[in-house]
Amino acid sequence: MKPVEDRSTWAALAWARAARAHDRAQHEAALAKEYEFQAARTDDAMYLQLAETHRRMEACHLSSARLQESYARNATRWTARTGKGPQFMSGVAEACGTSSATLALLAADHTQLAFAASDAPSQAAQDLEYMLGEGPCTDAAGQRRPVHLTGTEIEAHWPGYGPALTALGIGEVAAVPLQPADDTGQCLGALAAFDPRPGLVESGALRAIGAALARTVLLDPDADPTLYGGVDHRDTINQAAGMLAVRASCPVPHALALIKARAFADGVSPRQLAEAVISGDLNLV
Amino acid sequence: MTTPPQRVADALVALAGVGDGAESVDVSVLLATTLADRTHQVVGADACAVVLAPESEGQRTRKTRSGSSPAPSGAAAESWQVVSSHPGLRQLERDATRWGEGPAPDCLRRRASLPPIALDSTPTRTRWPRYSARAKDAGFSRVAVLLLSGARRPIGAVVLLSTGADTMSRQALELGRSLADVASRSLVHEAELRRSRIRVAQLEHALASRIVIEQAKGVIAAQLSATMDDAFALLRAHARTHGRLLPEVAREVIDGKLAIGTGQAPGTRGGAAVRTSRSATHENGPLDHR
Repeated sequence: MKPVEDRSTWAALAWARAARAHDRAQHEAALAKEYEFQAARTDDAMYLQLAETHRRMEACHLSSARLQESYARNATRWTARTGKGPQFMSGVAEACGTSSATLALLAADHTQLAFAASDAPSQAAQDLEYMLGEGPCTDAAGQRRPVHLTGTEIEAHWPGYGPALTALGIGEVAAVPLQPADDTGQCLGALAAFDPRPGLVESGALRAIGAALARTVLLDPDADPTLYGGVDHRDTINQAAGMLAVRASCPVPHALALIKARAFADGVSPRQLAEAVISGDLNLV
Repeated sequence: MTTPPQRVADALVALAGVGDGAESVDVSVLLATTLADRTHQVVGADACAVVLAPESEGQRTRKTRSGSSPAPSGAAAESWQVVSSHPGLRQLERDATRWGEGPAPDCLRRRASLPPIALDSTPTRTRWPRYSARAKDAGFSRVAVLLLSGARRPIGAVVLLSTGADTMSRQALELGRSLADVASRSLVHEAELRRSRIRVAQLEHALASRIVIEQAKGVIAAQLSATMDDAFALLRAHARTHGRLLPEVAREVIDGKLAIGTGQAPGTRGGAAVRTSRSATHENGPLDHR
């Protein structure tokens, strides 16, 4: 648990980031307006295109301002209480019209580097994806396009992950890649929302939230890639993989694969299994 | 001969196509090359150079006491990029950025385009003694500059030189101006993409390093029956003692190429822990000391 001072500091930081995001949105809006004026005056399609680009950036900054504000409000409320601290991802989930949203930061080879989740079901879903190596974040980031599946489609699409996900009581999943710019191949990972509000994908809202996360929340010079301490780096699991490699005389990647497979087979979270490996309660050799 | 509007249209098409399918080359340089080539034709100049300010310019300017002056000076000139339609001109503009003297540095300092001016006029000789002498030697008689402006700071300048006295009309320069504006927007966009690529790579590197370090902690903790904190202290001490980066050392530990605190680094805290090692399984392990 983070000390209370941290949370009030984080709330203040989030309000400041929200204010800066509003300023930038205003700046983008002013540029867009200027180009719209030029477009009307000259009838030149280039100005219309430029105006559109700046309108998109305006929407992106506004979206990021709303996420920061949502976090700041939660953090302010939590400061007065005890218990688990506020999660940035809760605000992201709220914006998606659900309580379950998760974000995976992925390497170029699609291995998971870190993740953040808003609640227990989204954390369980992200654990499944981590253990099985398949799922909405892997697909969205790997193919650089949105993923949207419901009901039986989920089980048909992912033979391992699908049935395990629906067993969590989840009936719909939507994911978007986290791309810092439209026209580069760069991709940070993906954002997935479970049982989101109707129309989240069709309206382009999920894509806008993903853009705000990728461009300003995670990557901007003003960014906080730890999401106020909400990002989980799976430290315990990696430590356990190192230990297991020594005990089993195998390479570290094999030990990590063994931990994932055993956790899935036993129906426990990879973190729980890793803790048992580290404490010596579980002998996988 | 093609008419000026046609040339402008062709030039715009050429600028828009820059970078298509070009992954490995520097798109900024391609843009500048196209701009130099096309502006020179559209304006009717005899030579043209595009000078691009280094990206970190803004930061460096803030540090200097001269405040608002983004003009280049000294050793920093290496990071300026110059492309030119004319081989001799490239060197002249490079020297100009080094001297902080000449039409391009002045244009960037003033944040404004400069209208055509004779190279042998008194103001030119006074302001740019070295530049005007060299340009005249190369056979040029007039120079004009167009500013390439970004959202917050100037990003470069287009230097246009002619041999005749009545070249580069106001109208022709207006056309050149519109090409420079289009190119500026593309250059700003390209710089944003480049910065974003760097930030993505930095974030990925930081996240991947953390994984490798945690795994190495686990390896060392198991080898020495040490706590994770002690394992990390050993890892960090090894990196510091050998002047190496922590992720590099961690990588060698998990690859079994380096054993820390198992006799190779005497005097470290792990020395005592070795004797307490409890498991026979790791004695034959690939990560153990020989």
